Amino acid sequence: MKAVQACFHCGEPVLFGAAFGLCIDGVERAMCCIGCRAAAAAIVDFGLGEYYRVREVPASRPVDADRAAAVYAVYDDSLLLDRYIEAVDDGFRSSLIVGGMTCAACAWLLEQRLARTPGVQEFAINFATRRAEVRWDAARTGLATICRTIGEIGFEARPYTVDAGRAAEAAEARGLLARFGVAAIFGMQVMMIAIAFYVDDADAFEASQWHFLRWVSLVLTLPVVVYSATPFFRAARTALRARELTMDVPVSLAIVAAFAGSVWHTVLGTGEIWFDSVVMFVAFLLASRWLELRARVMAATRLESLASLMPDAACRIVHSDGVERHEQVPALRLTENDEIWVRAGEVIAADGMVVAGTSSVDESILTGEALPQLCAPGARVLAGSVNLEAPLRIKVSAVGRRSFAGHLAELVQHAAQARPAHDEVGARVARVFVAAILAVAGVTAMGWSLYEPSRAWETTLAVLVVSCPCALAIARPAAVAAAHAALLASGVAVLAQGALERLARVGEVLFDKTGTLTHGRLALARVESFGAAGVESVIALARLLAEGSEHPLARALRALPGPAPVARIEDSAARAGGGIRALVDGRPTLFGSRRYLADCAGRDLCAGLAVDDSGGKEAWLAVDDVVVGRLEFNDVLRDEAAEVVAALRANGLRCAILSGDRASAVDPVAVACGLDDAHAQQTPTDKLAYVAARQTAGATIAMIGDGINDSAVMAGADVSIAVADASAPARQQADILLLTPSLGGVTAAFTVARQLVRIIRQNLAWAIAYNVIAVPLAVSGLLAPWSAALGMSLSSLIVVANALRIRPPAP
Amino acid sequence: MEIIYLLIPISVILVGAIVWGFLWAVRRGQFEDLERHGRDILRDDDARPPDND
Repeated sequence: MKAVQACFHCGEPVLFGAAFGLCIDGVERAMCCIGCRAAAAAIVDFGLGEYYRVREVPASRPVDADRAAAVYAVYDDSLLLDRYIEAVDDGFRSSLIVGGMTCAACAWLLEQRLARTPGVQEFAINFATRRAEVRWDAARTGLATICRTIGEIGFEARPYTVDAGRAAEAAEARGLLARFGVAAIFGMQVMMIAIAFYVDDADAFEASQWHFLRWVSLVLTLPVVVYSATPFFRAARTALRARELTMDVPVSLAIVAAFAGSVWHTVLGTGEIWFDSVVMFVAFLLASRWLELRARVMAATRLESLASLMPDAACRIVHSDGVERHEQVPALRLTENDEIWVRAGEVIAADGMVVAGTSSVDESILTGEALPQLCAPGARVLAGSVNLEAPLRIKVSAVGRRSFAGHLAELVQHAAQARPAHDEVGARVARVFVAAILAVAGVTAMGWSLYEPSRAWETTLAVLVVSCPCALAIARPAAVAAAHAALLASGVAVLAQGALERLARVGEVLFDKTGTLTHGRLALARVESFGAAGVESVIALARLLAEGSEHPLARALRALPGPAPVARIEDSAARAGGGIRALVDGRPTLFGSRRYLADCAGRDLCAGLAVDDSGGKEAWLAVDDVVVGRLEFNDVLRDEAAEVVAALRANGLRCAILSGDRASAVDPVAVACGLDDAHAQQTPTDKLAYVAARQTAGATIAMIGDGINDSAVMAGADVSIAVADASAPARQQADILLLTPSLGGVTAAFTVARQLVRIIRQNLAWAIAYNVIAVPLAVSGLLAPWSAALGMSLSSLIVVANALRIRPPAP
Repeated sequence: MEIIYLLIPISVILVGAIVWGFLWAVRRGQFEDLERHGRDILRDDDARPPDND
C-alpha cells in the first residue's frame, strides 16, 4: 500500500500518484486534479508563489474551470449590465461574492492577482464577508474577464445586486456620519467657549469680548442647526403631517427653541444662551442613530450567499444547420419552449418539463420535501431545484412572473403589505412626554404672562430647553445599536428596524422542517448488515465505492467522520440513477438501488430479506452477488434543534412546525423536538393563511425558515428569521439572519431581544426621572445654564453606559 | 486679551477646513471598512513578480 500524498494546492489526497505534478520553486509538487494544477500554475506564473508560504490552510478544491468559464461569459451580456453593473465616473463597478476563500492569504492572493490585471482600477476584498468591490475600465476589460481571472486561480466569483432599499440605508448611514462629524467638530469649538462662560463668576470679561464670544458661538452653531439637525426636522414634519407625535417632534422643538432663543438673546445682547446644549444634543443624537443604522447596514452585507442564488446562466440547446449545439445564455434570456441542458450538480434555471434523461432532483428549498424526487421524461421541474444525478434535457414551460418562483414573489408582496404594524418600544412614552412638555410650557407661559409678562418668554424658553429630551431620545437607539452589535458578534445579523423589539413580544414560534430543524441534506440514517459482515465493514465498503462520485448519497458517505478506508479498486463503473460497480480487492461489488442490483445480477438479490424501512432513501450493497448490507439515508435533525425548542418553550413560547413535507416525515421531527403542534403538506399559501389566522386571534408570530416556499409566510409573520444558507428569497424577507449553521442563534436572539426591551425601559425611566427633577428647577429659575448642559450630557452618558450592558449569551 | 479677535476667527477658519476634509473622507467612503486598512500595513507586500527576462 502506498502512502497517501496530499495535494499541494488543496490538501486533499492524491489518488493517481503524481500524475498532476508541477514544479514550483524547483520542487516537484503533487496535485490531486487538473483543476488544482491549473490554479497553482496560474498563481506561480504571476509570481504569487508567496501565497503558498504565507497561507495557514490549504486552498479549497477549484470547481470545474472550463464549465465555470463558460458560465462567466454571460456576464458580458447587455441584459445583465443593468442588473449587476453600475457606471461610475471613469468606468464601471460591481459587487462580487467570492467563493473558495479559506484564509486571509486568499484575500491577499486575489488582490495581488487582480492588481496585475490590465483594466482593473480597484479591487478591494473583505475576507470576513467574502465580498469584493471591483472597479474597471470598460474599454480594457469586462466583468466576464474579471470573474474568469478569479476562476483561474481557483476561486469562484459571482456578481450580486445590492437591494435598492439596503443601498439607500447605506447612503443614509453615510449621511448621518457626515452630519455627526460636522456637529461634533463645531460642537467642540462651541463647548470650548461655553466653558469660559461657565467659569465666568466675577464677570472677568470685558463687555465687547463677552458679546464677541456669543456671536462666535452663534456662527459655530449655525451649521449644526441648518445642516446636522435637518433629519430631525424632516422626520418631525412628516410625523406632524400624519398627525402623530414621535420622538422627533420634541427633539426638533427643543433644538429650534434653544437655538432661536439663544439667537434672540445674542442679538439683544442680554439673557442666557444655550448654544452648547444645542450642539451637544445634536451630536449625541446623531451618533446614537448612526450607530444603530450602521449595525444594520453591516449586517446586510451578509445578505447574499453564494449557495443561495438562482443561476445567472443556462445552457440552451440551439439547432443550426441541423446540428445541435449548446450555448451559455443568461437565464433571463430564456423563453417558453426553449430547451435547456442541465448537468448533474447544477441548479435548474427555469420551470419546465423533462424531455430526455432520468435523474433525481432536490426540490427541498422550493417545496420542503426532504428526499430527492425521481424525474423521468414528462416530469415537471421547478427553477431553483438541483439536478442531482444525471444530465437532463428540459423544455422551458414558464419564465419570469409566470414561473413558480414568480408566483411566490407576488405572494410575498401581498403578505408584506398585510403584515401587522408594531410600535417601537418607547413610542407611547414619546407621545405622552411631548404632550406633557407642551402642556407645561403652555402653563408656564400663561402663568408668567399674568404674573410678570416681561419674563414670560424667557421662562417658557428655559422650560423647553431644559426638558430637551436628549437621554429620552438616545434611550432606544443606543440600546438597539448595542444589541445589534452583540448579536452580530455571536453570529446573528439583525437586518430590519425594530426586529428585536418585535421578537421580544412573540408568543408563538413557527419552524419550517427541511433545512431549518433538519440539515436539509441527506445523511446516513441507519445501516443493516446481512450475513457475516458487520455494520462497520458495510459502511467501509460503501465509502470505498462512493469515493470519487458526486451523487448525494456518495457525498453523505464521504462526510462521515474517521479516516477513509483503503483498498484496491478496479474496473469502477457507475450508472446514473442506478449505482456503482467495482472490483474491491478482486471481488465484484455492487452498490446501488434494488433495481440496479437486480439488473447487474440478473435476479432480485434482495428478495426475501427482512428489512426495517423508515421511509428514507435506501441503497443496497452486494459482494459476489450476495447482499451484505442495506443503508438508509435521510434528512437528519440538527443536533441542537431539540435543545433550542426546549429553551424557547421554557420561556413560555408556543412552538410549532409548518412544513411542506409529508406528515410521515414531519411527525417524527415534531416528536423528537418536543413541539406543541405540527402541520404537514402546507403550500406557501396554506402557511400564510395559518399565520394570518393566528395573528387575527391575537398571537404574535415568529417564523423561522430557509426555503423559497417559506418566503411568503416569513413576509407575513411579525418577525422572521432565516437560517444560514437559506434560499435568496427567504434571506430577502428575513428580519434576522443566522450566520452560522446552527439554530443556537435563535435562542441568542430571543435572549438579547428581552434584554434589549428591559434596558430600553430602564433608560426611559431614568430619562423621565431626570426631566421630572430638572423641569421644576428650570420653571423656578434655579438651574444655571452650565448645570443644565452638564446634567443633560451626564444623563445621556448614563443611558449609553446602561445600553452597553447588553451582552450576547454565552454559547 | 485683544488677541482673541484674531485667534478665534483663525480657529473658525481652521475648523471649516477640518470639516471640509472630514466630509471629503466620508464621501470617498473612507469610513466604510474600518478594519481592513488597519490590517493592510501589517501585511508583507514584498512579493513582487520575478524578473523573468
